[in-house]
Amino acid sequence: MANIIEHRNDLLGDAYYEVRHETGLTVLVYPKAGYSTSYAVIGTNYGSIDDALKVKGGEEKVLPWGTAHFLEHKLFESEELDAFERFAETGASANAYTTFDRTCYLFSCSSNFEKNLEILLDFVQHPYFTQETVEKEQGIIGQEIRMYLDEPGWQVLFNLLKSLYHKHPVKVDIAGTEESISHISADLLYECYESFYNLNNMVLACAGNVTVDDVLAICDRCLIQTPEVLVERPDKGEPADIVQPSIAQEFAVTIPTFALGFKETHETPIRSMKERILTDLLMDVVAGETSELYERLLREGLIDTGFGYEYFTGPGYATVIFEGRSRDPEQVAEAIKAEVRKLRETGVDPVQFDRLRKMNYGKTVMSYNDIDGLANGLVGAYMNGDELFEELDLYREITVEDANEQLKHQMLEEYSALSVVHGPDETI
Amino acid sequence: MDNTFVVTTVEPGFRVCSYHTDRFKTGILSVNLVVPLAGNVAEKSLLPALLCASCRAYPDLLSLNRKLAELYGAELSPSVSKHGENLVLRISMTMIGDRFALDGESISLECARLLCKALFEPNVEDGAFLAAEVEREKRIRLDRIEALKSSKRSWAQKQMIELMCADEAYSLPILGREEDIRALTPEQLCTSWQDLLKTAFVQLQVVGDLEVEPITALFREYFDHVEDRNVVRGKTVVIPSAEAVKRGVEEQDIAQSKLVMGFRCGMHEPFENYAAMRTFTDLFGGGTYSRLFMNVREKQSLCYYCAARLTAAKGILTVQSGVETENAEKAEEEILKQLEEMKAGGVTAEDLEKSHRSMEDFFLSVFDTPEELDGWLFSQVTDDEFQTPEDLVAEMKQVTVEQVIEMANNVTLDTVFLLKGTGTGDDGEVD
Repeated sequence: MANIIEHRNDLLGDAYYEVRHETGLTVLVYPKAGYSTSYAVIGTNYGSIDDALKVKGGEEKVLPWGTAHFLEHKLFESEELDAFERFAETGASANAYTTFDRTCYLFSCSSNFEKNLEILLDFVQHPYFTQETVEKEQGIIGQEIRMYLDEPGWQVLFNLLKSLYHKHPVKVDIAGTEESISHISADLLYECYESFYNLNNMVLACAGNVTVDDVLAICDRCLIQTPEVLVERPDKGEPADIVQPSIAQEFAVTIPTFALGFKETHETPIRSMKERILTDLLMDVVAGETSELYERLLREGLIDTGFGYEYFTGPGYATVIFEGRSRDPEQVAEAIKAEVRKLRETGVDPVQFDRLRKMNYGKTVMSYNDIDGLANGLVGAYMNGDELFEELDLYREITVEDANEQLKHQMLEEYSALSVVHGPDETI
Repeated sequence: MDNTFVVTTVEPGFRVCSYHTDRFKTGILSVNLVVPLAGNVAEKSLLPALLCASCRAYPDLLSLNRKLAELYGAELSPSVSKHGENLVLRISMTMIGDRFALDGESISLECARLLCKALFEPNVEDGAFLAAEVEREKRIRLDRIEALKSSKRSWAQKQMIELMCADEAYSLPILGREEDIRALTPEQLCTSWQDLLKTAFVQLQVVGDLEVEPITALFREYFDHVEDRNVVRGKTVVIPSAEAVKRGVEEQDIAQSKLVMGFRCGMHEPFENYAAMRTFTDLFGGGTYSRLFMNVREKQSLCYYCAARLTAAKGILTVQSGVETENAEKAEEEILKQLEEMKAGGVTAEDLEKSHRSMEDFFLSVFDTPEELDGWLFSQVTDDEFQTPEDLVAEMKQVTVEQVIEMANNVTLDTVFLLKGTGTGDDGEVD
C-alpha cells in the first residue's frame, strides 16, 4: 500500500494528498466536495529553457530551441487515433502547454473521468513520431511562431529578456525560431522523450470530483514501470550584468508598449515561496493600485489601466517586470526607479504593508476555487519544492522588516533594462 | 435554497438572479443595467468606469482602492458589452466569503453597500461629475480604443462586424465613437447617469455564500428613491439571410493575415433554434473534431487557428482564422467547402455524438466556478425566460443529424474581411 501524505488547511477547509507511485511518478489529488467536473494534468520538468540534455553521469547534448514545445505538439499523435480524437469520444476537453520550465498535458470533464485519465496516461507513455509528421509539424509551428511576431506584448517581453540575459535560454521564444525547429527530427524527439518523460521526472495532479483511491487504482493499471533516468538541469553560466539598458522596435502600434525589467542574480536556481510573496508585495507597494505612484501616473496620462507587473522567475532566472502602454515609457521607467530609490531610504510604510498583506491574503483565498488553477498550481508548487498551502500561512507571518530586507537586493537600477515597441511615426 | 438558480422579478424591470452555495471561497455580486444600443453610446458606456473610480464616501481613486484592499482585495469592476442590440452596463464585486475574514467582519454586506454607493452616490456636484475624473476616464477610454487597434485578432473581428452590420445598430462600437468620447462633458454624463437609473432594466446577480435578501432589500431601497422610473426595453433586429457578399481589405505591416467571415444564420429573432444552431456551430468550427479544426487546420495546415463562433443574440456566426497572406484565398475556399459539405449532408451520427458529449461537459462545468455561474446568469440578461445549463444540455441532446444539416442550409455568407499582412515579420527593425 502506497504511503499517502495528507496536506490539510483548516482555514480553507481543504486538503490534498500526495503519493509517490512505485513507478516513480508523484501523484497529487485535490478532491473538491460538491464539484461536478474533474481535471487532471500530467507534467514533466522539461521546458523551453532546457536547450541541453544531460542525463545524470552522461555528456551534455545541445538541443535546438523549441524542442520541448515541438515534442508537446507531436505527443498527441499515435499510430491509430490521435489523443484529441480519443478525448472527443468521451466528451472531455483536452489540451497541452509548454512553459519555460515544464510541459503539461491536461483534460477536464464532467463524466468518464476514469476513461479520460486512462487515455491521458496512455498517450503520454506512448510516443509515435515519424519524419513525415515531424516535417508537417514544422509548418504548423512555423505559423504559430509567426503569429506571435504580430503580438506587441510578446515581442516587448522577449526584447527585454534579450537585453537582460546573455546566455540563459529564457530569452528565446518558447516555440523556438523557424530556423531552430528545422533541425528537429523524429530521432531527436525520441531521445528527448526517453529522458525527460521518465516518470521520475514527472508529476500527475488531479482536482475536483475525484478520489485518491480512484486515481491510484487507474495509475496502478496504466503506469508502465521503466528504469529510472535522472535528468540534470546544468547551470547556464549566466553573468550578473545585463546586455544593454534599452531596446526599441518599430511595430504597427499606435501607443508604445513597454516593459521595464530588473534582473536579479541568486546563488540558488529557484526562488522560495516567501521570496516570491514578498516580491509581489513590494511591487504592489511601488506601483500597485493602492500606491500614490499609480494614481499619479494614471492622472498624468502616463499609463492606462492595462499597467501591471510580475515577478518573472523560474530555474536560473528572476526579474521584476513592470509593463504597460505609455506615450512616454522613459518617463514611466524613471518614475518607477525614483519611487524605488525613495522606498529604499524611507522603508515600506507599515500601514500600507498591512493593507497589502490583507489584500494578497484575500486574493490567495479566492484562488482556491478553480480546479484547473489548483491542479496546475500543484504541479508548479511540486516542481519548485513548495507546499501549496504554505502561501496562506506566509501571508500571516511576513513582516515589514522582511520586506525592507529583501528590497535591499531587488529592483537595482544597474541591472535594469527598458524595452519599448513603438509605432512607425515616433522617434525614441 | 442551496445549489439552485433562483430568479425573482422583484418589480417590473428589476430582476434578482442568485445561486447560493458554500462550495466556493469567493462571492460575486453584480448589478447589470440594460439599455437599447442606440444613439450616443459613449455617454452611457463611460458610466461604469466613472462610477467605479470614486464616490461620495471615497472621493478619489486612491481612497477607494485602499478601501478595497482592506476588504481583503475585493474587486470593483466596471464593464460594458452588447447583447444583440442592447447595451449592458455592469458593475461587479468579487470578494472573499465572510467565513475567511480574519476579524469576523461581514465582507459581503460591506461590499454590497460599497457597490450601492458607487452606483447611486457618485461624486456629483451641481449636476456634474468632477471634471478632472471625467477627463482621466475619457483619456483612458481613448487609449483603450487605440490599444484595440494593436490587438490584430479583435481589430479584424470589429472591422468585419462594422462592415457586415453597417446599417444596423449592432455595428455601434460599445466603447463609444472616438469623437463622441472627446466631446463628453461632466454635465452630459450626469444627465446620462440619471437617465440610466430611470430607464434601465436591472438584473442583480448574487453568486456564492452571500445572503440574497438583505442585499436585494438594500438595492430595492435605493431604486425606490429613483424618481420617475420608467424602464425602456430595446429590440434586436435579426436579418435571416445575406444577399450579395460584402468584402473588405485592410493592409497592415504584420507577419500573418487575419481572415474573418460573417454569416447570417436563418434566424428571425434572437436565439431561434438555439440548441440546433449551437450544435451546428460546434461541428462546423468548435471542438477538435470540428470540420474547420480537422481539415483547414490539421489536414491542410492552412492556418494556425480557425474557429466558428455563434452570436445567437444577433443571429450571426463568424469564422476567424490566422493565415499566411498567400493562403488567404485558399483558406476562404476551404472554409466554404466545409460548409457546403455539411449542407449536402456531411454530418455523421458519430460526430453528433461527440458534440453532444463535449457540449454536456462544457455546459455542466459552469457549476464549478463562481465566475462561470455569474457568467451564465449574465448571458441571459436580456432574456425573459430563464434556462439552466441542464435544460440546455437536455435540449441539445435532442438535436438530430437532420436538424444540423437543416441549420447548415440556413447559413449564408454575408461578409469577408481580410486584415492583410504585408510585412515579413522576421526582419522587424530592432535597434
